[in-house]
Amino acid sequence: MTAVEELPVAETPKETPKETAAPTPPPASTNLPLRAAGVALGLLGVFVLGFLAYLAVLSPLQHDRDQITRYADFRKELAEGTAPVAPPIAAGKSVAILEIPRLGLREVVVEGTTSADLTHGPGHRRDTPLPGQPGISVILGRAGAYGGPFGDLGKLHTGDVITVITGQGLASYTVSGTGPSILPPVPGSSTLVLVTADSGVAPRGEALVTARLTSQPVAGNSAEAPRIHRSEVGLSGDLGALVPLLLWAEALLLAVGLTTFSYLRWSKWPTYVISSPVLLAVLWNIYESLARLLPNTL
Amino acid sequence: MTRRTGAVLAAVVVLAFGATAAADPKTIETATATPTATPSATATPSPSASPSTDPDGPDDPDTPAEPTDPTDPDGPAKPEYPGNTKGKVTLDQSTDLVNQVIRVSWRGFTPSSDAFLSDSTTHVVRVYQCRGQRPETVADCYGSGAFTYPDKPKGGGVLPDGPTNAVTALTASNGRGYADIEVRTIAESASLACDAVDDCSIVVIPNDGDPTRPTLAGQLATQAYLDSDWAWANRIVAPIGFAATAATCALEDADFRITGSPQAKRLVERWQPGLCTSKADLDVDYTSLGEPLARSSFQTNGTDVALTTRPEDTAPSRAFDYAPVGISGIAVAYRVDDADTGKPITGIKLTPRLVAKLLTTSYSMNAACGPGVKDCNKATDGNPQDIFQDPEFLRLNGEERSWPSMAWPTVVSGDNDLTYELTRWLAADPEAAAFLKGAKAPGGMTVNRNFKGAEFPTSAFVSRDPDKRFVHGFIPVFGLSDVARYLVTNRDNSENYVKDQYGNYVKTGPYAIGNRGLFAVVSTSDAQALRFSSARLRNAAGKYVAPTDASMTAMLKHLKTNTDGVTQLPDYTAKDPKAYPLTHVQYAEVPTNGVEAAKASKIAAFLEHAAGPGQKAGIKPGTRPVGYVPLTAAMRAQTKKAAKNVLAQKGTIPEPPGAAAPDAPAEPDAPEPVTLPAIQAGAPAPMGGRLSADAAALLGWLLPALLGTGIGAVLLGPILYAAGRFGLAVPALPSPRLPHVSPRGAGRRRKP
Repeated sequence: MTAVEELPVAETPKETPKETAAPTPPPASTNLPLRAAGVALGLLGVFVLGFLAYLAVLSPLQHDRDQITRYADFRKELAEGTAPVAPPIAAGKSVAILEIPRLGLREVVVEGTTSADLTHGPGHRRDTPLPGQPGISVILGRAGAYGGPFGDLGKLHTGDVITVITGQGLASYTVSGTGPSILPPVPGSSTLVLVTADSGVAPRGEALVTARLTSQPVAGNSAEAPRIHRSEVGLSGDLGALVPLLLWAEALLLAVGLTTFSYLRWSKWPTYVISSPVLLAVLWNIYESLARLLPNTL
Repeated sequence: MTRRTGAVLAAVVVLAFGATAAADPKTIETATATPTATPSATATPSPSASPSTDPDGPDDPDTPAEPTDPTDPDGPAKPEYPGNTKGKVTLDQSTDLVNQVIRVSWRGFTPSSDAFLSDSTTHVVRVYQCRGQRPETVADCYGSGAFTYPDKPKGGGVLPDGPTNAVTALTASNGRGYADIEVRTIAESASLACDAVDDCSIVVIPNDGDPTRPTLAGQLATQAYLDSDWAWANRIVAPIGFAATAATCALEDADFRITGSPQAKRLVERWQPGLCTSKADLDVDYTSLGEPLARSSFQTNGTDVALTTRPEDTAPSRAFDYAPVGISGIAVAYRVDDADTGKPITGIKLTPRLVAKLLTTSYSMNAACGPGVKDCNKATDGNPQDIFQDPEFLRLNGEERSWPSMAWPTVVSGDNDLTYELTRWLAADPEAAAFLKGAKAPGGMTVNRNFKGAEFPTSAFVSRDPDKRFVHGFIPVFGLSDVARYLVTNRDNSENYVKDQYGNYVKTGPYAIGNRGLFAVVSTSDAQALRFSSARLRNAAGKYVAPTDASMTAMLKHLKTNTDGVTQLPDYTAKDPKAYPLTHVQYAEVPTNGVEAAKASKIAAFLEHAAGPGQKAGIKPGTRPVGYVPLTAAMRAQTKKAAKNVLAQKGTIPEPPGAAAPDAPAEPDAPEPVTLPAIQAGAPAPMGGRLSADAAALLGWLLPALLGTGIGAVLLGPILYAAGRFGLAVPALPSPRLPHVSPRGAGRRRKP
């Protein structure tokens, strides 16, 4: 909610000079470019802090809400037997429920690992088999933003249990290695690799947890693995978000222009009432696009 | 434990309970039916008081493991409890219990009407494990129809902790009988919650019918009325105490972590409470884990100490020593009842080929082909339905016997040295090896076709047959101790292959005693602690040998040293008629470089314990449990040497293992170069992303930099503004348009 409170603040410095200008005759030292620079800088600061506040406060809410609806939907899919188990699976679809008892973690895993996919929860890398199937399954998750579901991955020890429920049933894994290096897989077995950034704030590299299947592997699929894009590997941003960012920035420009116009030509409070929700909505979308540019496992 | 200490212990227990009874007449009153009961415990401990070391006791697989045999020879004398007017009850161990099977015997009871238990048998006896030292009603006893548990005071008869451990047994004509009951700790039964602090009790309930309705004894003294008030009034209560467990140690702040060797579980768990309460004050965290995983975890610093049976098979990345800590074996345990009499069959002999048939699901089970059968399993077509119809088995174990039908064998899942060594033993036997490669066994039986091309030895049992009955039948169990739990609760891990109305595959329930055909591959420690009958396996000399302390010790002469010069694995081709082939040393891999002095001294203290007091047999924390044989002098010396090296911390990384271990062909679990899914379209990053050092540094500071920028801008903005507005200490910049703008803005604002 910080962002909401900060927005009016952003407007204030812009308008106050005009308000105070009339009663007090401008002193000789008044310097408009300096004042404009001050206002611009202040607004920029509020915009940046608002973005950080979005990452810290609003994005987890967005993630939690996504998880609740996805869990409800995926339960139904599991019960009906319609949960997807083989490619092609559309990116963004729920494919599994990941549980790590030691961390008290239960997340619905989505298909795809772009920055946008990972805003919903951990993502299954599309070119790897689904958990439980023979081979190496890779699941990426965020360490900090959007709830940072994998932020506590470093607390796992060898021997901890990870369970994954897919449309093919429950697969249980035992953690076999943690840290930046990967243990060699045993041929013919099934391995699960959880990938995240090594820090939710200042990532330098990746943190991996390798786990081996202890239950029976389920049937794999012979379909050719889909190719994945550069933006779907760990720690990569999604440059595709630049287009919506540009469009939303234009929308912001338009909204600010209209707000200013209405403020000057109409009246103060009605303008606030009408423009705040619009500006907030536009800002939210800008922040979301910006977040997609950040590394996906952040 | 020696016999003498056992006798002393038994005597102490007798005195203790005698004293309790004498000091508290109420106990006797509630525990006896009539006031004429004699409250004294009169047993005199016999020389063979402790069956845990009695070579004719649990070590001997021929010992009947089941309670339905009323003709128990007068067992060793043990503590007794005042009971009803005439009965006396003896437990073979009543203190320092863990999850194990104890024998409860009695004398002076009314003989049962039949030799075999049936619904009409009268004067049956029920043995319960109950909550508290003085259970008030039968609702405190697990498995009774009225059982309640603390969170759910209503709705009795529920079994929250799985199948009951209560046993129904008979009394022989001489008034004696016995029952073997699995006592459960809080880990197995949260609803009983027995641990080192909260005592529990064994309650023996003879049902002699309602004394007020003697004419109805034929009905009322049967097993249907075992929970009745008159039976409860006749109960004999024997308090039991449990051993301290690792829960008493400060494990959240453990001195070091041990991972590995499920076969060493009972040994390490016995040591844990002993070590953390001793002067050494060692808090050791232990996770039972398949050895291949534990070894790689150790090499990647995932654990401080790994326990393993087989040596490292890849180039080590840490300096370490091998230190022998225990010797145990693999047992093919079974619970098989005679289909006619319902009595447990003992002394079953197995050849390696029979074990191979069991483990490859080569019997046709419930998917046998035949005339009129539509959807049979072609992969086992022509094979006998189960082992009890296999001529090879019947020739060995008696064709005239009435065998039951076989349940699915229970084995451990995942990568384990136990599995590898068991299958290495199979591959070392010419008959079994030929069978596994596809050769016909006498009688025409062949290996399950789905095992064509399967490599042996293998480190994991896998269900290879895709037939639905096999997929839902042969399901390896996670955790070696859980395999034993399946057998002790008379279950296999199969499930119904047809979904029920809720879409679930319903698990197969426990098999009724008298109707069991269960096999499981377990460790000798579980087999002996839980008193399983263990199959006599044919060794290379052609003799059938059961896993006993003697036969396992005999095998120690036939261990082959590996190329590392320390670790030893059994030579399965050694022709020693007395040796049990599946005997293995568990080694600790201990770090000899790069560990801080405090931790190193703790690890060294652990090894000193392993080489010294930890090898002494007993029931107290810190000792060696049943199912393990003591280390040889040479092994102890090796462990002590390793302890010194751990203290010194001057080790070097050992050479990669050269030649493979004895008769180990291609290692199926040998790690190969990591082949991860390739990324066709993206960067050549195998897992996630790889960052160049510059990018990583940049990225790492992105968010903190943003935060700094934001705060800086928010602070600086108003300052700049104020400077421009009031000219605070900032030289005015040229601003020619200023006078025009400000009034115009103000003027416009006032217009509406």
